[in-house]
Amino acid sequence: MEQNQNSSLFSLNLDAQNSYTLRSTASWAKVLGVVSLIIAGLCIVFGIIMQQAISNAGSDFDSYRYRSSGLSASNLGTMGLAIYVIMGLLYGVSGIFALNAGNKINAGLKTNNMETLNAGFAGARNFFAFWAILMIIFLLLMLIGVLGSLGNM
Amino acid sequence: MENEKSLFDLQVDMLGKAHLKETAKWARFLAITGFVGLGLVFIASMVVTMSAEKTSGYKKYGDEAITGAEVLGSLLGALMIVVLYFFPCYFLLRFANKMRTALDSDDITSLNESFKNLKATFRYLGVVTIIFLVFLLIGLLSSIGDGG
Repeated sequence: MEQNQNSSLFSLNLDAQNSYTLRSTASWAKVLGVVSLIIAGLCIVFGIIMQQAISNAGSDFDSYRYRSSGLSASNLGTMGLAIYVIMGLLYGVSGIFALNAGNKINAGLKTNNMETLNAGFAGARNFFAFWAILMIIFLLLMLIGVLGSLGNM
Repeated sequence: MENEKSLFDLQVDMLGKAHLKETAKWARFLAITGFVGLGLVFIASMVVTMSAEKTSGYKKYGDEAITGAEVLGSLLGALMIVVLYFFPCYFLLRFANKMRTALDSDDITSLNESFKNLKATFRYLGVVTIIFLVFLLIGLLSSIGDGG
């Protein structure tokens, strides 16, 4: 009895409401994961189409705008493709983390398996850690941009 | 009775708490850097607007004229990003704060509030990503149409 009281005082039991909230959280994480994976695929397809389009219109690009910057049409297309592929990969990895978290949390709640639930929490941690690291890189690039534009003023 | 409880209730164990604590830490970091990023986007858009006004007075840049509408458009675009990105950062910060309270004091109500905010974050990101997907599909279809 005393042990039971201690358990309720010093540990967290997931009650019905918690389980319900967590289950709908997992559902939305799965939605986010699936949509992110679709976007990842589309980004790569989009990049390939764009590269083809730029390469096909190569002569116009070469003679018009990009000659002064030293970029040929094929280089420009490859650069665009690389950007889209990187974007797709980032979305893909993030989608896998979100899907993994959603699936594991859902499975853990369905089977009352704490290990699976913990794996789901770890998936959520990976998802946020991934975006946090990307955010650091993004902020650094942005700072460089702002400082550069302030220097040009 | 105790057996029944262990069958139908999940207890967040030490490992689960450790994972949730780390998740909350990363989420807090992401939320705070997100707010900083939003501030930087806002400042950058202001700097671009001011420099466009200063250097060209909406006149010529290279071969093309920068119009007031274009500057206003880029400013509105930046503001839209700021507004769009504000909410997930806000939900994330609330999730992290409530989770910390829940884990520190073993408070089940805070844990529930925390999960609610996590759900709000995923729901918001999911809906925004679906909208982004629709735009991407429209762009893809129109580019295929142009190519064909």
